[in-house]
Amino acid sequence: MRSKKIALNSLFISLGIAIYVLESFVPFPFPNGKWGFSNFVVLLSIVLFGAKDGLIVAIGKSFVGSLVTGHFLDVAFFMSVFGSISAAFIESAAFKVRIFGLIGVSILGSVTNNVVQTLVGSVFVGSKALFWILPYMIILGLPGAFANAYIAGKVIPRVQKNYIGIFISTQTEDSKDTVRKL
Amino acid sequence: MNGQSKIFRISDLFIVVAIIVVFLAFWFLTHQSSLTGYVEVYKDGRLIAVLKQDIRYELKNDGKHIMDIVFDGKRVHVENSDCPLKICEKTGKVGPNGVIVCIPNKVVVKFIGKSDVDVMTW
Repeated sequence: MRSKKIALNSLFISLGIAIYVLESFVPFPFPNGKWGFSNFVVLLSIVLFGAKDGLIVAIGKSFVGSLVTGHFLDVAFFMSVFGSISAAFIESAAFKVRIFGLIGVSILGSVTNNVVQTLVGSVFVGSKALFWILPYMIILGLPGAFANAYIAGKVIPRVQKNYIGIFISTQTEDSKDTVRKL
Repeated sequence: MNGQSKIFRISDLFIVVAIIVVFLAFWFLTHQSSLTGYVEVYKDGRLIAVLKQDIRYELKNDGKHIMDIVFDGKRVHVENSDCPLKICEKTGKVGPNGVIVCIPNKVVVKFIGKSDVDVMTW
């Protein structure tokens, strides 16, 4: 069961990195913005397996992703790591309270990611000026957050249906409940 | 199993509306009728230059060219930056209250807008 979980998390991390690398080839129409499609695997992991695994996938994605893209230990790396970890925390909490749909959870994650990235960037640059850009970053993050929620919502029932064997042994009690609801 | 309804719940709408309202308020406050002002250039969090008229300011660090900051009196933009992603260049021309940030070079270009209205009262 443990090795199955490790394999699944690794699979999710690789999927996230593959999307991250691919989306970097698709130009974003505005500066300071990003598609952020790779965060969909974090959302997927939180919904299917729970908060802990979502966090593992978020950390793994940032670490290995930065190695692949050549950003390891630079500013972008720290912004990405702290942003992803806090987004995963907030997404898990928002999902757990069962008030929001996947869109709400995804948007809250995206907003958290942007706020924390701005905070880290501000500390590095030594100026609060970055916060002037934050509202634009949040608005620009909305389409990606919508897309992630929509894709996750479509993928989850299919994964459950076709790979039910994996989930019987790897789900936590908590995530079983939520998946049943979906 | 209805996946659609779980992707979206009515509470999600509140988040979207809240974000849009806050953004519009911010946009409105930063895009008031102020059309003039001056530009402050920060490097490593320290104010290193104030541009008050049409100027092409060449920013150097230890003698090495970093970027050119072009101010035409109404808008400011960054040209020829040596940073890898060129986000500061792509930010384009910003007006009063706009900000250009170059994270690799730790440079912030702030357009301080001077409003036509001196005091705002209720």
